Amino acid sequence: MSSLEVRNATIAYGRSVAVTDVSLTVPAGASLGIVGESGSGKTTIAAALVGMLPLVTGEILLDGAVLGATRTKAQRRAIQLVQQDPYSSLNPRMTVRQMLRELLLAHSIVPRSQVAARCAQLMAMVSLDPGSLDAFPHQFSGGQRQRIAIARALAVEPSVLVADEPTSALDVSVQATVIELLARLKQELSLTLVFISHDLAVVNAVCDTVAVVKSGALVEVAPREQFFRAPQSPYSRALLEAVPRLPTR
Amino acid sequence: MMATDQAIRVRDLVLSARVPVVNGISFDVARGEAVGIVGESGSGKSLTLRSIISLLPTGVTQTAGSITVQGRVGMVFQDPLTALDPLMPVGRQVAAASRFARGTGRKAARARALELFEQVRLPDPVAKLGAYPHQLSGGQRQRVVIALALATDPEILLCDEPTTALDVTVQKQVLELLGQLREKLGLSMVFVSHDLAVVSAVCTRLIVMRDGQIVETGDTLAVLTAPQHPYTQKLLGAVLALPVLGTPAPIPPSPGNGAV
Repeated sequence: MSSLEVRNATIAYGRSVAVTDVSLTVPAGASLGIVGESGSGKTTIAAALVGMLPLVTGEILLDGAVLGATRTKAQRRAIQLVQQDPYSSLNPRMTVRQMLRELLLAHSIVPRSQVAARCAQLMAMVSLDPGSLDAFPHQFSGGQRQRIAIARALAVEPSVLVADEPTSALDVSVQATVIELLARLKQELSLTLVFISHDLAVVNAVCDTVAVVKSGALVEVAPREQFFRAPQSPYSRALLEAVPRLPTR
Repeated sequence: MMATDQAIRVRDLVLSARVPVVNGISFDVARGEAVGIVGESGSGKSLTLRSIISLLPTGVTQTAGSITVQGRVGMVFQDPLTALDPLMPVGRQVAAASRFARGTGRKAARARALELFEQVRLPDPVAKLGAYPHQLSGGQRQRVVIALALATDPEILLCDEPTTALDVTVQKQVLELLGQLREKLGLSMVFVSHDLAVVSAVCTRLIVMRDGQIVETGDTLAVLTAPQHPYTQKLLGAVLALPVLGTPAPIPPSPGNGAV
């Protein structure tokens, strides 16, 4: 289990600043939801957390230790990303076994002799049939692909999982099973979770703290219960009020 | 023969792509009625909608059944970025559709485009006539797509996931706009979506589809609060609920207190 902290982070793409002065704290084993509309900077924050984007100013701390501009292999391993679209995040020309094998060997997770067994284990972990390890991504459904993306992130045994809209491309019934899976894995593997979504209902189901971003700045951070029942900022309230709800009799 | 108070009648419709993808469905849409078709990917909801205006994708054909439509039809597509021509100002696109429908001259068509932009409440409509799609926000683009659908003076509006690509606050505005337009223009509407809550905001009657078949149909409130078919129940069960939002605190927070 690891704690994650972002201190006064400003993140930019070249000269255009996407996120300004954001500070967040995720205690070990907690789950933080980052919500906001398109262009609010959610995905930018996710990219910075996993080290895909450098910070202009500020710092990111893992277990209290500042992550430098160039992360060590162990630090890169520790924070893993599950991307939004399982149709584009998986290499179409690699079988699931090849994908997992490459990671397991590159990070020396298990000795060569145990790679096959470990691949099967990872598949079972995300409730997929280990018998389909030699299939290509296009042979799986959307929900199955997202499970593969999760297995791939977990292959290197991270302590923090950053999930960027992991259920947005999925049907509602499939979405429910992927959320269940994430909740179970978080428990079983003692993961710290950062969950990015525009879908407030999904965040409510997964996270214990909610952070709202708008135009690259933090608007509100609150415990789940408080956020969903009594949001403090007018923007959070507007977001919650805009969510279409099912009629009740 | 079709009754005069009917807008659309579909009987035993079969759509095939080698195998049947929509398999013998029948339904009616009354004049002025808003019917929602809900279902998951691959249920055939979008194909059903597209078959009404003979806009089936290559490889899919109607192999049996009949579709009868009374009145002009307009369609609002899901993704405004692909529905609009990126190389033509949006005003010209709407004007072109209007010229085609009404056979009027350029000047009248341009005036009509402006009128439509006002009707879909695009901010600064005169300036927007000359804007290209990429210069508009997602919500504004979807308003243009709606204007485009209205340019042919339709009596029936078909909507294919019109708000799926939009943020939740923008979605709310677009749904309100569609509801108001329907009332004002007396449109019949068929609204396809995977989102039960979105459909329930617009439609009075629901059709639930699965694997190319209709599993349940009925009054929106009845279907959503007392679903009969196990699949509808499963679909509703998978919808994540949100806690009830409390009313705002009576005393507004002092400055600097609102944000963390």
